[in-house]
Amino acid sequence: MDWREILDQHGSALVLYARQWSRNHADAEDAVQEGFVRVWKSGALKRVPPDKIVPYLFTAVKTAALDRIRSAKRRKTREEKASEELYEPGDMFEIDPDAEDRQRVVQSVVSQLPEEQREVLVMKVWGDLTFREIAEQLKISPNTAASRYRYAMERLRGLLEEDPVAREGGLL
Amino acid sequence: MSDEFERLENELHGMQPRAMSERTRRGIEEALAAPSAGRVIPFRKILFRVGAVAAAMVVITTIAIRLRAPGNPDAGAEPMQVAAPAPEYIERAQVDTLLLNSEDEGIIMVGDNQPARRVRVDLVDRMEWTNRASGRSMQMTRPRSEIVLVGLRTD
Repeated sequence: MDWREILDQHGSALVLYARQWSRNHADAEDAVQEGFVRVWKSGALKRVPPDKIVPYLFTAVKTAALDRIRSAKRRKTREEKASEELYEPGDMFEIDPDAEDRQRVVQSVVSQLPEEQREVLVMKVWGDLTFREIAEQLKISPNTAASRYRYAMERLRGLLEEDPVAREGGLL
Repeated sequence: MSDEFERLENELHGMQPRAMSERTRRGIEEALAAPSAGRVIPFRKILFRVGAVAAAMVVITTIAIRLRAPGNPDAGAEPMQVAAPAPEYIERAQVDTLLLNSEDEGIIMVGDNQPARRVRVDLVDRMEWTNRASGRSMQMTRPRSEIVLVGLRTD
């Protein structure tokens, strides 16, 4: 499989996945680049069946994003620089101007999900992975992956019920 | 997943994650085209080296402590052997190494396209010599850094 083809099809989902452990979109892109290049050049993908490459890349990107967090924490400790103020909570999705209010609400509630639920949601909805593929990458059972997805949807619905824009937009 | 969440799922599927920038795409292309550099030190070799250094430090520190211990019949009895012979009245009183910091600098690609974890270790060697005749002492500290590459399994 050609790497360009993979990026065309899954690049934005990988960036969204990395975004969960990154301060902003640019950091998430850097994590994707690091993770992608790392596994591609390592030759590890030669031992991965073609249909498992994309799920494997999600894990590689997560590892790179977490490595970057650890490095950032060390820099912060050394230089006593706070980086939280650089966190940009939005910018996860291409917002459709025709549905801007509604989509911004959804983006906001997605970002409020607990990490383990949001992770499964992103892999399932935008990564288009099966529960079995998600389970293999997260080292959990398929039932647990499905449960986390369900909890995520229930929680999203609960958060959206509290939002007047979501209620009026007919999301529920 | 079910009809229960159908509308919500449709809404989520309709939202497009932000696209990857052309800058990142070019960066990936350049990185994939660039040759790998560096050399992997097999983990067993690293363990052996670290173990040898640790054992040497334990021996040196133990001797230094014994020489300095009050009431120790061996204290000051024999000067330590050093690479460059010192006058007999010069005694090495203290030798130790402090670990200041170790930092995981992430994973890099090295020779044969193998991933390796790069770890920087900051150390300070402290040495002290005492002139038994005059009672004067001289201290020396030597900061140093070491880079250790730990080979990673990719299977």
